[in-house]
Amino acid sequence: MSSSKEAAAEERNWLDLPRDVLCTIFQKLGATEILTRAQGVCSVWRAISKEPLLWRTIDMRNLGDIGLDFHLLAMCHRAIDYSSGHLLHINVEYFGTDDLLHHITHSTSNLRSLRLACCYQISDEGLCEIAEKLPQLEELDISISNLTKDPLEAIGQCCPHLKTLKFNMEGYRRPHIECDEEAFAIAETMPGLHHLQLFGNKLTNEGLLAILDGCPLLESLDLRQCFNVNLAGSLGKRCAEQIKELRLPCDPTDDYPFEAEIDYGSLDEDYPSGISDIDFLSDDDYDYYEFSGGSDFSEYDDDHPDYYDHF
Amino acid sequence: MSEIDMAVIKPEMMKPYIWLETSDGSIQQVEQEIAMYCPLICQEIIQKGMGSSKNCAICLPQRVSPATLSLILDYCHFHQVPGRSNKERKSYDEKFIRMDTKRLCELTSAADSLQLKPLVDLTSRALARIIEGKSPEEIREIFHLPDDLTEEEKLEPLKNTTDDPRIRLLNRLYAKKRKELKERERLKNVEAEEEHVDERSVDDLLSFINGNDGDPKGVKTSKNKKKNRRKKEQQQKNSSLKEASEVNKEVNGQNIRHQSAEADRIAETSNSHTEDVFAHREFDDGDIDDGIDPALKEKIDREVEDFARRLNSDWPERMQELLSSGQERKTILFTPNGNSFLRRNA
Repeated sequence: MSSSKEAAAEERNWLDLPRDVLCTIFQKLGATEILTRAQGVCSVWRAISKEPLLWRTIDMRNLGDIGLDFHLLAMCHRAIDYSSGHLLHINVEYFGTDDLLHHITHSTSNLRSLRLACCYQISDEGLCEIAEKLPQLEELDISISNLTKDPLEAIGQCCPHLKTLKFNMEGYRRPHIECDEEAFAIAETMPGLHHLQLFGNKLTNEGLLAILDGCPLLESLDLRQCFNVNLAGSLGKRCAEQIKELRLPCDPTDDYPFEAEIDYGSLDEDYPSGISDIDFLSDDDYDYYEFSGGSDFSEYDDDHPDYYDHF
Repeated sequence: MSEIDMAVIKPEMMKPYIWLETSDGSIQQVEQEIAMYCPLICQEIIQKGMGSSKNCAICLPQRVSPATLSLILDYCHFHQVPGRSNKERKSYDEKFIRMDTKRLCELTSAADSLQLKPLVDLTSRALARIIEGKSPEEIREIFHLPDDLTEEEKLEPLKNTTDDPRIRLLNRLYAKKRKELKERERLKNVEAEEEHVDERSVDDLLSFINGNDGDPKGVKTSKNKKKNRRKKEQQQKNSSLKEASEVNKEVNGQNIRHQSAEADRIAETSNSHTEDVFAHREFDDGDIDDGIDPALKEKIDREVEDFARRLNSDWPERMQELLSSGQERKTILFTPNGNSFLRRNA
């Protein structure tokens, strides 16, 4: 008799955990684990896995396997349904689509942060269409995509609370391309920005200056792999004064989750005659462009030897 | 504890020890400073002035046994000491939660009832780690949970929020499977009824028992029939399993290289416990064939069968492998433009 009592107690232990404790455990499991494992265990767990408050944050990372995209997309749709309008933060890697964005904004208008990494199926039009349905958005992270300035403009105009923007690309020096469109879009439409990461962007000093003028509240700025920016002289000085936390174009990329500085083809491919843009640089520029040591701030270093202590 | 709370404590209440009563009625004396790390005990002392003597011991919640209280006090004793580094605390926590699952569950429950959030977080994380990477069957075994999900629940369709033809096909597949389940259930009921109802007269039965005029092989024949039917079903099942594990081909111009938990459901019999990946939506079983031209129905059926064949059945294993590899896994992937690699630190 006592043994059966013990067995019953043992069974009761787990199921007797209060609902909020089970929710805490499920939160630590993560979306994919809940949807592929925990949900199929028993009716109690199934009910908890449908708890809307459990789905305030949906973190759906694809671990690099293209083959899982379809399943993750399906699971993500389900997770959004479960959130029942409580969704605040969502992270989608590789499998995002325009349809998924529509589903998100159809489900909630209170989204605070949106991260889309390597979502090549998301189009400018798709993101522009949903921009007006994200009035509470505070954080947007678009890493490695096919997107242009258009969705940035739309987001800037429709999301007045936006404080953090990450618009990251693959960093490369060659072929040499300059483009300030995204920088101008940010400067014109996002005056409330506090944190900006433009990894691998093709902006020039002109674009950077526009950002510094247009975003007076900017506290942190990440310009790693932005090889068209030359922070020597007055621009560097201004960055140091205005920005509390600055990451320079040639700073280490250890904490960046994607491949950094990729060269598309050799110099000879880009310049059949064997002449590259490096040949046209002045001695001063050459020093900065070719060597990523410490000459970026040469003019400024002399006056303020302790400049780097700020970072 | 805040300064305001401290100010409320009267001098006579500031005793170095307090008395606590656990669920089994046993009373023990505990250092007040340590015990007050638990918000619930802290409230009892400050607001009600309890615990100052054995007679007015603080009654702890039902879920706090003497054994778990001892563990909780050890935890509090370590963490209430000021000046410890995060590294020290982390190291202690890691060692502290090295215990069997049953005790971990009890500890989580007790910590929750004492409102000791840091410990609830710690034990919850430990329990989550136990669950991670395990199949539903394994989880049920570890935590003694019932297998009470119905087949219907395991075959829920996905809301077709996208125009993905694969989702449409999956829903058709699910609906078909559900229809088969219902049909099987109906046949079972009919069979059961047939077995129970015996309309032969007593004389007939007696003559059958005595072996007169009756066919002694009557029952045996039906048994053999059943055996043959079962054999046939088994063969069909095996062939469908083979089909499901065949290499994928193109579906609507897309190469579905990935594997699917759904394929398991399609291929295996209805009592398989597979992952429930899709959301329940209004999806009428009648969608399959009601009011459809027979030729079109045949075409759709062929398409669905073809789709089932193309889905491999080892997706859950691969998913498990990917999930369990966790942080250490680094994968390299081609980007769509075909000329660059991305590194993922998963």
